[in-house]
Amino acid sequence: MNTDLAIAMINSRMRDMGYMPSDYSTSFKHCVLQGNERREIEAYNEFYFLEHDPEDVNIKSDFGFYDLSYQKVNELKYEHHGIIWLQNLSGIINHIRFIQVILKQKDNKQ
Amino acid sequence: MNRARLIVKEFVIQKLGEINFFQIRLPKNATSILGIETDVLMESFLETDTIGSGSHSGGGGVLPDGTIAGSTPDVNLHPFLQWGSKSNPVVGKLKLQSMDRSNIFFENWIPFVLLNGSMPDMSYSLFPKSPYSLIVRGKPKPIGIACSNNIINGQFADSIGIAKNVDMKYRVKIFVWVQTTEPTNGVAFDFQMKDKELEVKL
Repeated sequence: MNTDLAIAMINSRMRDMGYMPSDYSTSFKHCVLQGNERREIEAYNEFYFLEHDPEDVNIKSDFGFYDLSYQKVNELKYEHHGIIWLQNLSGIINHIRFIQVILKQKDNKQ
Repeated sequence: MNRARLIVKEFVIQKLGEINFFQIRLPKNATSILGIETDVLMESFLETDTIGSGSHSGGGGVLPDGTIAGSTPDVNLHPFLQWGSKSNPVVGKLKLQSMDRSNIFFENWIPFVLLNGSMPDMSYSLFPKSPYSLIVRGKPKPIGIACSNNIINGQFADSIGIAKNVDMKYRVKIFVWVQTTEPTNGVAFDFQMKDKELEVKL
């Protein structure tokens, strides 16, 4: 995954789900995880797209799973939403970069 | 109503904690998803579960001191007798995601229907069926979402292997009822009718 592909995927996925570019805003989220840290992100009304291929991390969400070291999965997902669990599998600091898509309330649109 | 068609997807789970992502392709003329039904065929033997089973004191299972009871665990050929145990008879969790705006539209624990499970459990007096028996007539869970996209993404995560801490092999079948643009020509399926129409006079 790279930034261009993530942006292209965001446009396509959001359009398929009925959201025009004016219906959402995007933001860049760079998570810094300390050694063996676990973190939970609530993203019920948001989508998180992985922007790179981080190693030594485990990411689980409602319909996503990403862990390069897990051997019992047949695919990895780069799109996450709902509650997202992040876990740093290494003892040293690790980084995960997401593009965050935040849906706008239609009533509050300017 | 237009004709409904059934799409079947089958996959095998054989590792502890396996996560399987898959895609179900719908026909080009599918207009909506009517219902989802699932089935599981267990290919591994279920070992005796002694935890909470009361009347069963066979080998197998982990003792409180961490040792394994018995060198060779019993093979449970009659699992329907075991439902005094507290084990949960599900094999895993299934989630289905449409590529359209409905997004995740199905999420359910998939139950394991026991072979011979419809036989009465004598421990509940002579005739009543065990309340733990899950033998009910399977019928599709109604969904009713429009699909303009012909792909359904699916995710299945094993849980029975994790619960028993062994590799369990089983086949999961997913039946997707879709409505197409074809004329029905008088064909109607059970779940498309109302309850009273379902009753068949024998």
